[in-house]
Amino acid sequence: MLLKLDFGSDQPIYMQIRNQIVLGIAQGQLRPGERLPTIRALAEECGINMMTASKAYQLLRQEGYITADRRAGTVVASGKTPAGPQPETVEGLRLRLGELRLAGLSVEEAMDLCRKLYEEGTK
Amino acid sequence: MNALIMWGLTLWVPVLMCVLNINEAKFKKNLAVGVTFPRAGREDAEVLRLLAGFKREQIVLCLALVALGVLCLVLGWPGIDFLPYFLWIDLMIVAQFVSYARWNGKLKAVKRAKGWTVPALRAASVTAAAVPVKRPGWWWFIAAAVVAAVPAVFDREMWFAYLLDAGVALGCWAGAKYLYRNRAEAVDENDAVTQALTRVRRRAWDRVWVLCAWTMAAVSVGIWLSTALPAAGGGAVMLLTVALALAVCAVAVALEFRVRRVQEKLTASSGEGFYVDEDDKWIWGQLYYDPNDSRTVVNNRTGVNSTVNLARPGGKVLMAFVLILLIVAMPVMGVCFDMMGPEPLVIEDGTLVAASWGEDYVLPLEEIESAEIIDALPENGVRVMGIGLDSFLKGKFKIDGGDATLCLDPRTGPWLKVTMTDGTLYLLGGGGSREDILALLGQIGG
Repeated sequence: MLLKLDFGSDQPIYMQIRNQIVLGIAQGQLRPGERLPTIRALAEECGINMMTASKAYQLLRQEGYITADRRAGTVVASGKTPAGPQPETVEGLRLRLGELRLAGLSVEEAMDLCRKLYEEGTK
Repeated sequence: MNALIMWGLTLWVPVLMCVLNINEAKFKKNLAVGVTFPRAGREDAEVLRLLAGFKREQIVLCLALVALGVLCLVLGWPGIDFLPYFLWIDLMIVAQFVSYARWNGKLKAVKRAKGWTVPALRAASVTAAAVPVKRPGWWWFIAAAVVAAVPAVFDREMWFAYLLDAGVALGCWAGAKYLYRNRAEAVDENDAVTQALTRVRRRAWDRVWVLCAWTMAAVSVGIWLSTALPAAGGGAVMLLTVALALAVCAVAVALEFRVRRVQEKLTASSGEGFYVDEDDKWIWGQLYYDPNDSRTVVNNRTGVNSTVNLARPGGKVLMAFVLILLIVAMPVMGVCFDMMGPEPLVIEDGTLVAASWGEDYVLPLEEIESAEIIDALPENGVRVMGIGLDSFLKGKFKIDGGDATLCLDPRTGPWLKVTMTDGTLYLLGGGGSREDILALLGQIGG
C-alpha cells in the first residue's frame, strides 16, 4: 500500500497517514493481522520525524484500527474497530451529506453514491 | 612513468561517464535524464528527439575530453605533470554536469508544455517498509579488518599502512549502514515491483561495501608480501594496486548496470494511472533539495548510488566539502605536487641538512661514517613509504634488500651517498652541480 503525502496541504502529516491507513484497511489493501512498519521504518520511509510517525500510530491505536504487540510488532487490528464510529466521523458524514444535498442530489442519489464508495472496500 | 600511470588510470573515466549518461536516456522508473514522464512521453517525438540529442552530445563530449587528456599526456610541460591533470579532472566533472543539466531543462520544458506535470506528492510504501531488512553481518567487515591488520604483527615498519587499511575496511561497514537511505523504491502502486526494486538495490549496495572492505584486506596483504618477498619488487605492488582498483571499478560498474537493467525491465509498463514524480525536488535532475525531508543522505533515483539532501545543514556541509575538494583543492594540490622537490644540500651547525617539503633530514657530521658522490642511482629501488614522483623521491626505500632513506631529484645528478655509523644509508641530492657536491664532501671530510 502506497501513502501519498502532501507537504503543502493544511492537513497535518500524521493525520494524512492516519486517514490513508484507515482507507487502506477499509479497501482491503491492508488486511487484518498484516504487519505494519515500525515507527522508525515508517519515519525513514516517509522522510518525517519519528514523533510524527508515532503520533499517527498512537491515533490509530486509540481508535482501534491497529494493535501493538511486543512480539508481532504493530499489526492491523482484526475485525471491527471496538470503539465503533467516532463522534467526529459521524459529524463529518453529516457535513458531507449536507454538502451533497446542497449540490442537488436526492436521497436516493446520495445513498447510491455512499453505497458505491462503501463497496469499494469490500471488493 | 608516473604521468603515464595517472592518465592511464583516468583516461577511460569520460568513456564510463558517457556510457552511464547514455544509459540515463533509457526510460527506467519512468525517468529519462532526470525527468519523470508518463507512458505517453516514451513515444513522444519531441522527447525522443531531445534524448537523441543528449546522447549525441555525450559522445562528442567524451571524445573531446579523451583527446584533450591524450594531448596533455603526449605534449606535457617539463616539470608540470599534476596541474593539467587535476584541471582536466575538474573540466570532465563540470562539463558532464552542465551538459546533463542543460538537457534536463529542455526535457522539463517539454513536460510542462505537454501538461504532464503532476501534483508533488511524496510516495511511501507501507508494505515495503514493513518487510524486515536483512543487511550484511558486521563480521564480514570485522574479518576484512583483521586480515588487513595482521601484517602489522610481522612488519612493524609499515604498521601504519596496515592499520589504515583495517580502518578503511571498518569504515566500509559504516558506509554500508549509514550512507544508504532505507526507503522503498516506489514507482507506482504496484507493491510487488516496489519490493523487488528495493531488494535489488539494497543487495547491490551491500555487496559494493563488502567488496571494498575485502579489497582493503587484499591491498594490505599485497603490501606485506611485496616487502617480505623483495624479489617481487615494487612493480608487483604497483601491479597489484592497479589490478585491484580496476577489479573493484569493474564490479561496481557491473552492479550499477545490473541494477539499472532491472529497474528498466521492472518498470517497463509503469507510467499509467498514479506514478511517482519527484522532479520538483531534483535541481537540474542531479541535486536533491527537499526541506520537508528529514534525511540528509538520500538514494539517487536510478542506479545504486546515494547523494545528499541540500536542504539539510549536513547536506550543505558535505556538498561544500566536495566542491572545495574538487574545484579548489585539486588544482592547488596540483601546483603543490609540481613544485615539490628537494632543496640544495647545506651544512649548518655541524649537520648535513637535506631540506624539502615536509620533514627535513638532519645528519650530524660526527655520525657520518662515509660519504661519496654517485653518478647513477640504483635501479632496483622499491619505495616502502614516502613520495615517489618522477621529479622527487623522498622517504623509506628498499635497495638490494637493505633499507635506505632518499631525498633527491632523480632527474638531476650527481647525488650524495651517505652511510651513518649505525649503518643507515642516505641518498641525497638537491639538484646542485658536481662542484657543489664536492665542496660538501670536503666539509664532511669524506
